[in-house]
Formats: sequence, C-alpha cells, structure tokens
Amino acid sequence: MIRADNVILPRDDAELVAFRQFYRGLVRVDCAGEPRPDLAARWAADSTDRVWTFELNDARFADGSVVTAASVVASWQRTRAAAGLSESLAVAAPDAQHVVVIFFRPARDAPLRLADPALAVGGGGTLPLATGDFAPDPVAGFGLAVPRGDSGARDPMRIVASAADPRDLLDHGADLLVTRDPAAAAYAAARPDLEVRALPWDRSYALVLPGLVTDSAVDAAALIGVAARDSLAREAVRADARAAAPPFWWTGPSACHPMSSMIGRRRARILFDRADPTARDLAERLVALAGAGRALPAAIRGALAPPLVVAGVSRTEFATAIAAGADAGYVASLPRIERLSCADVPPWPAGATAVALVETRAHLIRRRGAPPALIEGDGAVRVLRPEHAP
Amino acid sequence: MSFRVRLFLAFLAAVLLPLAFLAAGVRREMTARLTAEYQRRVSALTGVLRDDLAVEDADLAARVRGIASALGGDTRFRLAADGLADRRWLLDYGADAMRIAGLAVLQVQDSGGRVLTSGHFRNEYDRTAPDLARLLARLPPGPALARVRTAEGAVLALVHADSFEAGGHAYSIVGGTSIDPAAIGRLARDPDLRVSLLLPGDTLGAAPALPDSGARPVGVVGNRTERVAADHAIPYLDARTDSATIASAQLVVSQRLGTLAALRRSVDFWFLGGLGATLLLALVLAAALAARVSRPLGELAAKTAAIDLDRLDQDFASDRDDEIGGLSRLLGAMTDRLRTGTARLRDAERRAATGDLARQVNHDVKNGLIPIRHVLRHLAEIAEREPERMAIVFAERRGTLDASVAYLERLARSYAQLSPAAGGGAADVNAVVREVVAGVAPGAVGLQVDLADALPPVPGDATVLRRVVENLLTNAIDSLASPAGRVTVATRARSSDGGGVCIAVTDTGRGMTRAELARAFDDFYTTKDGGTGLGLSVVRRLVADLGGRLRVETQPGAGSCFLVELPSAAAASSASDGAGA
Repeated sequence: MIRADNVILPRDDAELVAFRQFYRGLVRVDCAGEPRPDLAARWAADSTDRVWTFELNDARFADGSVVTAASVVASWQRTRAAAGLSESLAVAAPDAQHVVVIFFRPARDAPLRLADPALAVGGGGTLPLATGDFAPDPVAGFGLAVPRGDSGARDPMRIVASAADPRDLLDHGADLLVTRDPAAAAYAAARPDLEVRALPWDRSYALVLPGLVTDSAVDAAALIGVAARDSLAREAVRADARAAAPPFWWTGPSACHPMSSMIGRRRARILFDRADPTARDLAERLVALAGAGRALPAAIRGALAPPLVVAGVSRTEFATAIAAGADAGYVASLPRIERLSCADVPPWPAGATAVALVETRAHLIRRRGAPPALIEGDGAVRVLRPEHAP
Repeated sequence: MSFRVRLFLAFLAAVLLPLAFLAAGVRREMTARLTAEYQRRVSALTGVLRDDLAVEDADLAARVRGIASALGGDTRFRLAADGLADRRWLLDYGADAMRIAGLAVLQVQDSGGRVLTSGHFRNEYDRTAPDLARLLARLPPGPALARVRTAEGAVLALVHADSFEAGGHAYSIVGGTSIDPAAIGRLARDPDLRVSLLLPGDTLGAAPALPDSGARPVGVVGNRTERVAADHAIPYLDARTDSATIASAQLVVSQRLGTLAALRRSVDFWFLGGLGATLLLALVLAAALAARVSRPLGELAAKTAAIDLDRLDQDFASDRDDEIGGLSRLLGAMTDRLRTGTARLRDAERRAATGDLARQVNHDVKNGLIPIRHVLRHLAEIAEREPERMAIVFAERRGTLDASVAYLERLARSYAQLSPAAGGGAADVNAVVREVVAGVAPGAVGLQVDLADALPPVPGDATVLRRVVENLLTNAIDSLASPAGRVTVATRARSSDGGGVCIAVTDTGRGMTRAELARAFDDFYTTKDGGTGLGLSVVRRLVADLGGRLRVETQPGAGSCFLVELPSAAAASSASDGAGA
C-alpha cells in the first residue's frame, strides 16, 4: 500500500516505483552507478569538497511553475528531519538557480549521495507537486498518475501496489512490473510478450545480534563465511540472491547512528519483517542451523542458543523491537549502498553486531510495446514518456 | 425436661427421621441413574472418537502413500536427491506437496535420516533426525501423535510414516495433519462431557491429571468437579529435538459433575426446606398442645398449692370435657369433702378447746374476783372492828369493786363472742338480713339492701347467722372513711354446688392490703381502735360451721366485698347424711 505520509521518502518497492515517477532529485544515478543531471544541470565543489553548488535547469512543477533553488531548499527542509539529514548537511539558495549544499565532512561523492530518493524535490501541500514526468491524480491520489501537460487524449497510467501473485497481475495486463519473486520472473521469461531485466542488487540482509559484542565491526560482519552466505543465497532464500559481498557500509562511519537501548534478558527468537519473504527464509534457516551443532560459527551459536523460533512482525513493530534489542536476533533488510538518509535502515542497538548474509535484487518485467523504462543505479525504475524514449 | 420439650422432640423424631431417610434415598438413586446415563454417553462418544481417529489415520496414510508413490516415480526428485538438478526445487517440494495433500506436516528423509525436504519447516534441510520416521515405523498400525518442530515453534499432529525407493536409494516420508487440542475439546457436543488430549507432562485446561499409562479406574478425581469417565491411549513422539522417544498421550473423556452437583443441591435445598418447615410446625404444635395441656395443669397445681385447712375456698369448676376437666372436677369434689371433714374436725377441736377455755375463764374470773374478795374481807374487818367507819371505807373501796365488776363484765362479753354456737335448724337469710339492717341507725351511712326472692333456707340457727351478718355489716360501716361511703347488702340464690344462698356485703371503704388480708381472719387481729380482733375470726368459724364458704375481694382504697356462700338446708342435710353413711 502506497502511503501519502511516506512522500517523498519511499519505504518499499511499491512506493519507490510510484514516487520515482512523480518526484525528481538534483542528481540521478544511471545503471552504471554514475551521477547524471536531473533537476540540476551541472554542479561543482570547492577545494575542500565540502561545499557543493548545484545549478538548476529549467525544470517545472506539475502546475507549470518553475522549480527554483528556494523551492528545492523548502522541499528538503520539509523532509530532511524525517530523513535524518540534519546532521549530514546544510543547504542554502543564494539565488533562484543555485543550490549550495554544505557537508560537515569532505564529500567527494556528493553528487552520488544527493541521488538519494529522500532528496527528491516536491512542491508544497499534503500531496506535493510533482517534478517528474508524471503527476499523481488529484482525485485518486497515488492510484492514478497522468503524464504532465497531457491533454487527456491518452489513457492514464495506473500504478498498483498489490500483494497478489505477480503472475496474476501480468495475466491481467500489467505493462510494467517490479518484483522480487523469482517464480514471476521465470514465468515472464517464458512468455514471448514479456521481457525481463534484472535490476541492480539493491538490498542487503544482515543478522543483527544484540547479544554479540565484537571488537571489529568489519570482522563481525563477515562472521558467516562466503561459502555459508552463498549457500544461504542459493538454497535458503527464495529470491534472486547472492552472498553479500564487502565492503559492508554499516561497518564504517555512517550517517545512520545506532540507537542506544537497555539490553536485558533476551527472548529466544529471531525477528523479521513479516512482509519480507527473504527475511523470513533467512530467519528460518538460521533457526534450523542454530539447532544443528556446528553449522554456525561459535560466536553466533552462543548468541543463538536453541530452542529458538522465528517470529514475523509488522515493519513498525520490527523497528521498535530491534531498537530495544530484547530478542536473540533480527534479520534486517538494508539498502545495499550507503545513503544520506536512514529512512529505511532499522535502528539496531549500540554495540550490536550486524552479520552480513545475502544481497537480493528485483526484476523489471515489461510488456513489449509498453512505455520504456529507465533503470537507475539505486534499482529504481523510471518510466519514460514515449516522446522521451531513446 | 419439660413436657413441651418432650413433645417437640417427639414430633422431630416422628417426622425428621423418615424425611432424612427419603432424601438420602432420592439422592443416592438419582446419582446412580445419572452416572449410568453419562457412562452410556461417554461410551458412545469414546467409540466415535476412536472411529474418527481411525478414519483420519487411514486417510492420512493414503495421502502419504500417494506422495511417496509420486516421488518414487519422479525423475526430477531422483536427480535432485543425487545433486544433479536444482536443489531449490527439492527444498520447495515439501511445502508444495504438503499444501496439495492438505497436510500440516511433511518431511522426506534419506536412509541416513537427513532431511531432504520439509513442508512444515522448509529451511531445516540437511538436518539429521532419523528418530521420527524410525520410531513411527516400529509402531503397530493405528493413529500416532507427534509434536514436530517448525520455525515458529512446534505443531502437534496426527502423523503417519511411509517409505519408498527411488534411484536405488531408500527414503522415508512422514506426513501429518495438525491436531488442535481446543478443537478436540469441542468434539464433545454434550456440555457435561469434555474431551481432552493429555500429552506427557501436560495438563490441558482443568482436566484431571492421569497416571502415565495403563488402565484407568473410573472414579471421581481432581477437584471433584469433574470425573474421568474414559480414556484412550495414543502413541506419542516428541520430535522437537533430534532424538525422539515413544510415550503415550491420553485422549480423556471426562464428565463435569456440575449438573449432578446442581441436582444434589436442589434435593438438599428441598430437604432442608422441608426440614425447616417441619421444625417450625413442630414448634408451633408443641407450643399449642403445651398451652392446651400444661397451662390448665399449672393452674390446677397453683390452686391445689393454695389449699390448706383454713383456706378451702378454691374454685375447681371447669367446663372442659377432657381429662383436665375431669381432674379439675375431681379436685373440686375432693376439696368439698375436705371442707366437710374440716368442719367436723373444727367442731371436735372446739369441743376439746372448751376445757382449756374453761380453765382460762376460771383463771380470769379468779383474777377478777381477787380484788373483790380483798375488799369484802376488808369491809368485813371494818364491820367487825370499826363499824362507824363502814361507810367511809366502803366509799374508799367502791372504786375497786366497780373496776373489778366492769372487768368481769368485759370478760364475759369477750368470752361470749369467742364461743359461738352454731345451733341447729334452718334460717331465713333475708329475714336475718332485714333484722340486722333494722338495727343500724337510720341515715348513719348510705346503706343499700338488695335481697333476692324465694331464697332457700340455710342450715343453722338464725342467731348464728345474725352474728355473721352483723359482724360483716359492722365491719363494712366501720371501714367507711367518710359519710359519703356506701354499704350494700345483697342476697342471691346459688345455682352451682347444689344450690344455696350467697350473701354479699360490699363497701366503698378503705379496703385491705395483701398483708392485712393475710391476717384478717386471725384471732385478735384488728386494725380498728378498740377492736377485739375476733369479728372476722368468729365469722369465718361460724360460716364454716354452717357448711359454707367465705370469700373476700378487696382493693386498698376502693373497698371490700365479703361473700358468704351457704348451702341450702336441704343440701346440707343430704351431705351430712352422706358423710355419716
């Protein structure tokens, strides 16, 4: 379900797809991972790599008004607190066309980091004005999006977030589908009217152990060896997965600071977000391995002493539980690359160890003849208007 | 122990014991019949449960057999089991097959007990846990239960094991359907019966604890609110760990004793209600009977206790026609005979006392004569020696002579009053009353006379009767505190006790206190100045001599009424004849 209060910060794949059509950032990342101009035509840094100036192009909001530097700053101010950006940067609008971003530390990769979806720009209002090629339907909200400036001659595009079997959605005529279900990808690949493209590896899964304190976060992240991680990816997880590969961004200085918590006696269970089947598969496999002698490293066996069970909770409950650290372990889904925002990083307790498990990616299924789509570096899909198609 | 208490206890014994016996019998019979009825229902329910379990087990066996056959003929399974095909397919196979077959548990193991695929716990693959299939294979045909490990915890299932061969290897397969203990509890449609599944170490709900195995005696257990009516043992394996063992689960049918207890309470309630009503009735009846029997007896006892030889005026008249009335009349007749005997005894006493009186008179007269003798002797000496002083000395001693004579005269009057004589014959009461009233100074007091006509004559001399009336009337007049007081003399014929006459002398004088009344008939007791204290004493004796009774009703400050009841002359004569015979 796409939620209006998550604008402009998408919390799942559905919101990521929807909001990417409506809202653009200063910079986007192409499929090769390179920063590309979006609302900003060009950018430059000072000698310290801390102060970056972005020059806007002539982009406009859905109502036709010009996207100015002031409107960019206003949009960020509305979202930066929720996105956890306050401690990372400061912004200013010296004139209508230039946005100055000041980082607290040198940031040579600033354009790449400014491609964070949390920094997408929208106008004011409960439903911010779109800056993308499409705009939310003013009546149906996110249910419908119409091309900007369209005369209405064409049928509007419909965006659906559904828990139904994605193969059923395809059978009912969906033109574009982003899914992590390998069965749906296999189904689409077997059909001549559909084409399938693997999206970039975008999610990392880690086992967060509040009861395991290590000297080195880097070493701890690799407690489960590559072979075991590979086995998890190949057999335990029912998704397009691979062994998580270093570097693991959460082991270094991060904008997503862990929360402190009181850690007392822990319940013998591994928690996961019940909306995430990959997290469930990993949790179940870890429970199975915890009861199977030496299948896990000794340090992890100590933290996951049987009898152990899994428990699926809602995303909100999961965030609360992992912050409290009152369970034996948590299977957390993280963005694979570090972002400026911590919006989709669960706040695990200070001192807890995050052990890398696997990485996954989604697939884009497109009906042949449907509008083209652009795959961006963060795994998001941007639908192109036919006139923009290459 | 009083008559009333004995009566009450008798009522209780007569009513309570049969009532208690009846209640105990009803209670016992009701319990036996209800228990037998519930036992029949329990037997039927147990049979249904066993049949259902058997049918479920057969169906489960067929489904597991179907999966085993399909796997045995599945090329992809052979390849995957040998590592020659995509293993993910094999890992997902268990869940897919389990859903298709409608099972809750499905696990395929190789000959070494290694889990190849598991439907209820997809990611427990490669776990080595051979005990579940091995132990199930050893059990005799029939239902078996197992607690199987899943990622979320454990599931209790009715399980069945089978085996198959594929690609030259032997495999075992275990399938099961979940068992919900709460659903088992709902199998008992009868609200008074409960079905519970007890696993080793478990107690489900408030079910009574059972021994581990063996035949179970049927009886009341636990907190006495429930009784085990039947139980059925089912093989049970705890497969939550890698090493499982065979134990026994119990399917228990128990009877809630609430209905039986409610019926017992109802019987007890009505029994206690009946008991209370019986107690109340017994109390009321005992009180009523005691009032009808013991109170008249008490009154008779009080009257009897008041009788003595000087007080034979108690009234034992009764109109009751029962034993109490008979007893009362008997006491009345006895009192009458006692009264007659007392009169005779008094007569004898009087005769005996005459000698004493004569001696007293002799003594008193001598005392009175001594001064006279002394004066006469003195006068004789003067006449002989000094005749000339005879007149002077006589004059000096005349006072002594007069005083002695006056003393003798008073003495004579006193003895005259002390020694009445009843005399014989019959007297006309009204005539005597008129004669006495005529002697009262006219206008001295408010005197009223009310004489009945045609009164029968009474025994005795008219003079004696006159002395009686005269004394009573004089006393009544003397008792008046003021000239405004009234005295009434009335006569009436008596209808009871054989007839006779009643003389009532009533005044509005000062009356008497209880103490005064107690001594009023004693000799020489008087409350009047100058009284001799012999009036009423003489009256009482005279009335007794006449065969009558004297009664007094008095109230201090309000006056007195003296009733003289005299028999008729005819009745007195016949009574005298009867006593003499």
